[in-house]
Amino acid sequence: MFGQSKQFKIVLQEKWQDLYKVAYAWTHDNALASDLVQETITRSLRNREKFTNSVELKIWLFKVLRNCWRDHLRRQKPEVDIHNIDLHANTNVENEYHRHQVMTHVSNAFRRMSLEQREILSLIVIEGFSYEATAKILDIPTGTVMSRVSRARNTLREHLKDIDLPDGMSPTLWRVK
Amino acid sequence: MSPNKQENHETLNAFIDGQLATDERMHIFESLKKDEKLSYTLCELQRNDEFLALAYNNIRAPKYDPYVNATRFSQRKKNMLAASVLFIISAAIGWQFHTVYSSEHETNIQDISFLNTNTLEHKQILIHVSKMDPKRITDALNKAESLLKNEKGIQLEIIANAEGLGLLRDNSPYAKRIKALSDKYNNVSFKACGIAMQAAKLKEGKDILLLPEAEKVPTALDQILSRLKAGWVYIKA
Repeated sequence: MFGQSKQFKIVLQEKWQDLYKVAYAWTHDNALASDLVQETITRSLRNREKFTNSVELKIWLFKVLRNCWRDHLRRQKPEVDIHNIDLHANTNVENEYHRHQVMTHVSNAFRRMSLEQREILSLIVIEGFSYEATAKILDIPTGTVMSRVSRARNTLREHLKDIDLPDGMSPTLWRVK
Repeated sequence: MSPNKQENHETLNAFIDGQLATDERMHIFESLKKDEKLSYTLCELQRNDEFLALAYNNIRAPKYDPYVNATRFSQRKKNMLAASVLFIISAAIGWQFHTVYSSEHETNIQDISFLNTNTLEHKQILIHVSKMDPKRITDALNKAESLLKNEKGIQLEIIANAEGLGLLRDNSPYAKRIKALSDKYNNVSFKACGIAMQAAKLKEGKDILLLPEAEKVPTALDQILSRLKAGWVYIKA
């Protein structure tokens, strides 16, 4: 199906934005995210003969992206471990409702999570992959995906609890009868 | 966390992610009816998901160019130091995301009870569609119709972004239903996210046309936030 280079490039173009979004969620660095996606595309073009359908291709692309990211971390580890960067919020939400600041808290909370947890939440929550597809991308059993996403959501919840939200900002319940 | 509690929490997460079979989902719905704490936890987790998605779904990639040599990793140190994050979009005056749990059988407003009914001074309801999932969209349209039919004096708005934009495009498979709703009720409106339209235009290389009933807004996020600020109730489809 993807034997023709032009056809394959069109498919890659369709996935470009999705790959970049997740790469950015992992790196929080525009240039690095762009490089990782470019590297993913380059590797994919090299191996395009392997793919027969676009569903598997999307999973595979994210798997390649993750490998590129891990390769990068291995190279950088002595100097920079991106998920250990001090990312404490420098904004104060106590007396303001400014939208940028609230979202900054959310993104800071996300960045304070471990790499493993950020990976899984970005694939499932941001990109909408199923547990099965996520298991393939991360090369782990589906049961591990289930427990890992559960822990990740708990961690995010704990981080967001730290925010001193004004009254009325907690979720209001609706219930199904 | 005890093993049993851990297991329950994993099941709740699988419910959020749509990974459970129908009978398992129904079991969760039953539990939600009885357990207010569980409902609150679910609501909180879903709200956090929403915020996470809002924070990252509007990140725009630079122009696609498969020919660029992707071996610039030597520049990374500079890039790392320069990586102060610019969040173009944003969010939240009033973090009042109200979540309703969609049920496979839920088609009538009478099936929903609001714990804080009295706080709904203005019956203004926003339904947010971000995925082109037939079941979710059908549920959302059913819910909308139900509200319009049964609740007097309400104002209802359906806003679509990301994949959900397909609901309001000129080739929408739901065009007839939207027209019927719009013709029948004058208190319903349909809004399409300008950023999602721009993204679709870049991807498809052509202008994106909307159904005549739909209106373009600059961004779904700003629309949602302004509605929340004004006291609207938010429902995620």
